Amino acid sequence: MDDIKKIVKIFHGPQHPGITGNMSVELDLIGETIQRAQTHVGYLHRGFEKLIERRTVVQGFTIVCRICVPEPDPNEENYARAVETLAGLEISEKAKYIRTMVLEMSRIAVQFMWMGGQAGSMGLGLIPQWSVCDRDYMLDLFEELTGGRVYHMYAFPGGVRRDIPEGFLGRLSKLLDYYEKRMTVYDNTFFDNTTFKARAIGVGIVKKEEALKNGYVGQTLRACGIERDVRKDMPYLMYDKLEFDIPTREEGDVYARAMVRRDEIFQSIRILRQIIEQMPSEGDILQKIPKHRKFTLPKNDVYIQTESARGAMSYYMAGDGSEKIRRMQVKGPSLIHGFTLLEKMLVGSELADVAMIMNSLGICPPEIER
Amino acid sequence: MAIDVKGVLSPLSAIGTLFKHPKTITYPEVKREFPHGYRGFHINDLDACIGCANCQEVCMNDAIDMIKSDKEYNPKNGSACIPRIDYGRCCWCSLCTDVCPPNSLKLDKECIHADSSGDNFLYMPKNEKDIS
Amino acid sequence: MIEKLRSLSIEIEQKNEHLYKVSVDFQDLESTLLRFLNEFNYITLDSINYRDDIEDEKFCITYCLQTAKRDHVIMIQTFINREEATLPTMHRIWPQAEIMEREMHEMLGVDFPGHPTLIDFALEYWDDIPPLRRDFDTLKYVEGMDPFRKNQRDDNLDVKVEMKRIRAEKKAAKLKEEEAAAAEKENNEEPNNG
Repeated sequence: MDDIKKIVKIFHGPQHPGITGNMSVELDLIGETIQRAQTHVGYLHRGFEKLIERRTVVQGFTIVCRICVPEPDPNEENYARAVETLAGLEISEKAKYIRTMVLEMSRIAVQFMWMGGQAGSMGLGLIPQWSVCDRDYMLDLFEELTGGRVYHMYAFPGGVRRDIPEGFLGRLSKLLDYYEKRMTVYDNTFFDNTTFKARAIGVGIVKKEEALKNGYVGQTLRACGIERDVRKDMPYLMYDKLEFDIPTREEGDVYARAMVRRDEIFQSIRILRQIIEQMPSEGDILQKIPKHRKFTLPKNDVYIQTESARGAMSYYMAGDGSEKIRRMQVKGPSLIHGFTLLEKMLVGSELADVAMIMNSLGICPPEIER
Repeated sequence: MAIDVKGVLSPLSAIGTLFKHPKTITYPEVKREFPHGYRGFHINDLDACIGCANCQEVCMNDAIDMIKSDKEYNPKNGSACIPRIDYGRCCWCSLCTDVCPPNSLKLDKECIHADSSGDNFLYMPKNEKDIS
Repeated sequence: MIEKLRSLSIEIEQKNEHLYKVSVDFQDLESTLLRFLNEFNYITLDSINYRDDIEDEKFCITYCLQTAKRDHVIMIQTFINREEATLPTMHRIWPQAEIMEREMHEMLGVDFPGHPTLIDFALEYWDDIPPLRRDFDTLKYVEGMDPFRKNQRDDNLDVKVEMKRIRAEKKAAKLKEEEAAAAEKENNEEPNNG
């Protein structure tokens, strides 16, 4: 009678505190070990790629930031750069510096939110309270600069929409000093915590041999020892003139990915300090572009990549000679991580580790199903 | 078995935060100051609005209606119409304020509106004179 | 690199220093992909992009491959028929192609013989044509459904029509005034004559 083992089917999600968004994973369990996992999406499909087909270039820029909710800025940057490449626009150096600054500020804000999610998925309820509060200070700066806290709608094809307010760079510099001091508190309570190490080391290992061919991006690659980053391999904006390193680890498990993300916060602070020093005081904010019914895109297509906080995000954009966008296709880092990698990695793991692995891979459902 | 002494003792430093002042403000006694340039509700200067419907043309969600004005308006207003915005569709992108030729449509700092009926979200922008 | 490819009589277009584009016929698609994978070291499949060219009655499919050092992208483009569209499945070489082809099957209606899981990706119980085709009209699809606001926005006026109307009214009023002034002047002159 002990030979008969029952398979129990559980839906992990879509309403679950251990999921990073609105998707579900269907698990087949024997005891507490997972035999088979299947991802289900479709709770958050808003049809962006079809909506864009009716809109002109200027109208489309307000939709794009809503594709990935935790992190809208790389989407705006990709859209702006794709339109500029198709239409042949050049932007000024001051606008390039401002756009780089916005991308790095957004990167720090996302890493703080990730820290809250990763600690909360293990039961450390104190860290999400602190990290969400610290992210709020960065959102206050965004509110001053762009007029909104989360959906900025700031990076426009041709430059940016508003100039930097007075005293902004001084406030940013003070906030970076505060963050550097605050990271020792997070080290003491989270990254050096023996509970976190005991649960995270050896869990969710990604193998190095197949990582490049299968299309993994971001911290999943860097924690296996492969040093790849779009900012260094295919540089854009001002990244070829700024100095920064790419942190890597060798083990490829949840703990290694967490430490890579922690080191990236310090690298982003380093980049921001260089930008504050080098920001030019004069220059055009926005190039002259035609009125919105006369801004036509030529009949061509282009493929653009930007490094977001979780990996490389790619856009395919095609124009057809009219004022409307013919086709825009979005491919984020979570499409491959959420299906191909997750379904393989969960086989043989325990039920209690599912939430930790999903948070560590950085799977964001609005990006998968736009 | 080696015990990670540092890993066990250092999280206990979090107990010190029990005695520190919280970082939140006591709403609603203390209200928050919104910065200049915040994208809140619309205001319209009726002495300057010329009823050209540029805002209706550029709105990406079809949220703006041009309706007959029953108040006094600019004598240069060629169509005798002023904009009214559907806040069930507006996304506060402020493209309408960018294309307004006499710069009469603007966004203010107010952002709180609550109602039990959805019909009361067809918003007529306040006249700039009535606020300041 | 581009000279080497040109010397092998492959038609290639350079978009910028990190992006090339190649157009191939449908019969050569699989052999070109394998050639770029094995000979020229483009080992990652980054995405499969698609576009509906309804005027030419073709689908335009683009495979984007990337090198191991991730510093170069090549777009391999081909055109297939809109009626009974099929493509060879690439999931045995690149496992990430499985989810991309599943989405293409649902959104565009392309068939992949030999694919293990051609089930729905984001839409459940969908019974209309594949939605990302150009002949699917989203406004018509929502016409019969319960409207968001019933008749509350009916007082919307067309500004150009109103401007014409007001100008015509003003002109008519001015004409009437002039006629009335001329008639009064005539009345005033008559007693003088008589």
